[in-house]
Amino acid sequence: MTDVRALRGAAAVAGIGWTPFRKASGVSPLALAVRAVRAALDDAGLDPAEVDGLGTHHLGDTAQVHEVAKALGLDGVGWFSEEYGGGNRFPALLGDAALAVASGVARHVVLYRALNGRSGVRMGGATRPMPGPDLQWQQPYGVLTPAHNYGFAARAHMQAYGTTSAQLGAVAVAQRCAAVLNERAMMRTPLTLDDYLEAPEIVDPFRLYDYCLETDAGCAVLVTTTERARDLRRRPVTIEGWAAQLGRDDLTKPDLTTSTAATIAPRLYALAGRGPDDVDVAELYDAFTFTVLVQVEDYGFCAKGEGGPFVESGATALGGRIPVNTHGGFLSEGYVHGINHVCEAVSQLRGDAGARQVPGAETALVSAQPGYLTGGTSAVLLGVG
Amino acid sequence: MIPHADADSRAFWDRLERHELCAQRCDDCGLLRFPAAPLCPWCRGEQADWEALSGRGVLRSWTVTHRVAHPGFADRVPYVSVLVELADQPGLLLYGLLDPRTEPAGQLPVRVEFVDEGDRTTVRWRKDVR
Ligand SMILES: [Zn+2]
Repeated sequence: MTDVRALRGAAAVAGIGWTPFRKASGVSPLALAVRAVRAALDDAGLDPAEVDGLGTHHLGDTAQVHEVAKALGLDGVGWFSEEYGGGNRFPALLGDAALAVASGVARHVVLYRALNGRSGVRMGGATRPMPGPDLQWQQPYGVLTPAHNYGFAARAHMQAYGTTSAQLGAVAVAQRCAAVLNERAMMRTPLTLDDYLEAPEIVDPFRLYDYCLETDAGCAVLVTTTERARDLRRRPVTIEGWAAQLGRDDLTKPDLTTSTAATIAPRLYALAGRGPDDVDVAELYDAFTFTVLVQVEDYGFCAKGEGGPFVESGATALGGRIPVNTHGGFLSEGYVHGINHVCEAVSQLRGDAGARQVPGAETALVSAQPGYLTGGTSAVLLGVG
Repeated sequence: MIPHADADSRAFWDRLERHELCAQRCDDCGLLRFPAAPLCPWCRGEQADWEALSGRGVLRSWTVTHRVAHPGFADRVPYVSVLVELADQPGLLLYGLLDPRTEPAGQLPVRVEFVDEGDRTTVRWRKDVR
């Protein structure tokens, strides 16, 4: 393969699966993983015995690939990937799976993420394990949770561009409107801007509804070649391009108001041969409201510094110029560490999203955590096969 | 003792106990680096000396914690955590707590104080009235 653009559309997502999203699943992460994997295979109409690739990423809180293979009785897994890593990983893992099937190293790769993020190892907890030696510089000063790290970035954006609490609130309100239409979503009660502003401050500049939902759930996707996917049950959703980047961490970033998404966006669009104007729907990593606001800038949907007015205008709501997090996102559907954004994008591109369907959606952007804390991020552009 | 201190950062914390805020200065290119690291990120030189800093900087950002489920901090709310850019070299950043008498503001000049609690010394920042 001499030109990386030959990968454009070579691989596809052929199946997606979810477990229910709960506060207390009552089952192990392994049970969540195998249920999600089986749901994705059922969706595609593929016999589990055909699976020869398995991948996940985790923070020491899930079922490992060898456990999932054993539980499903898979003897033919010849490609596997198990990364230690958080929210910046899933689109990159999807790209790795695309490479594996496009090159012929594997035929049918299932990727999953399963965790008891609420009843087990709490994702937002102040005593959660964190990678690397950074904790010593943060913990003595009460910088203890993801909200602290993202809060510094949000404050810097407010200082630099006049971004307001009401603009962060507009993100939460728009996504809740979408979640009301999503039967899987954990939060389906309508939310007003007043509700948002009256909610308690937790780590200022964040209030309660700036936070995503710690969730017990599993999700899975099946990746194969686009050609092979055409023989399966569902319309293929093609992987048009992806990009990943190791960037500067929060203590070495020159400017907290720009995320690593700005670094990968040109490469992502070039590989896919599409630009921000071609994107019909975007599922943007929303650990907090702020990450949506910074990513609509950094992926080129509006100019730097204009993310606040942009979300406030309704541009990212259903029916807006670029609908974002059409399932309610991590803020209102649930937080499965990135993968549920891919499942929603696939639903949208299949035209299966019911009352929240974006009419005629043909290109979807799915992003990872945009590069706060450790600096890394990834994103993928999906299309219609 | 600071949890998670490692062999690379031990000297930083030891000097902080003596009320010296220090960073490594690269022997090869002469630039400062922080956090503590075994290698200069600018020239990749391995030799460095620990050097006392001015203790002055400006606020780059801050958070105000109203609720947190952590045994060491739950009863200290509300508290202000800050990200300070040191005056000694552009781009040298570190976290700290803000003195409760200082109102946080962007680019506010601040200077360091040392706080001894039990067997640990940490930094606190307050408005620089110089
Ligand atoms: Zn050097």
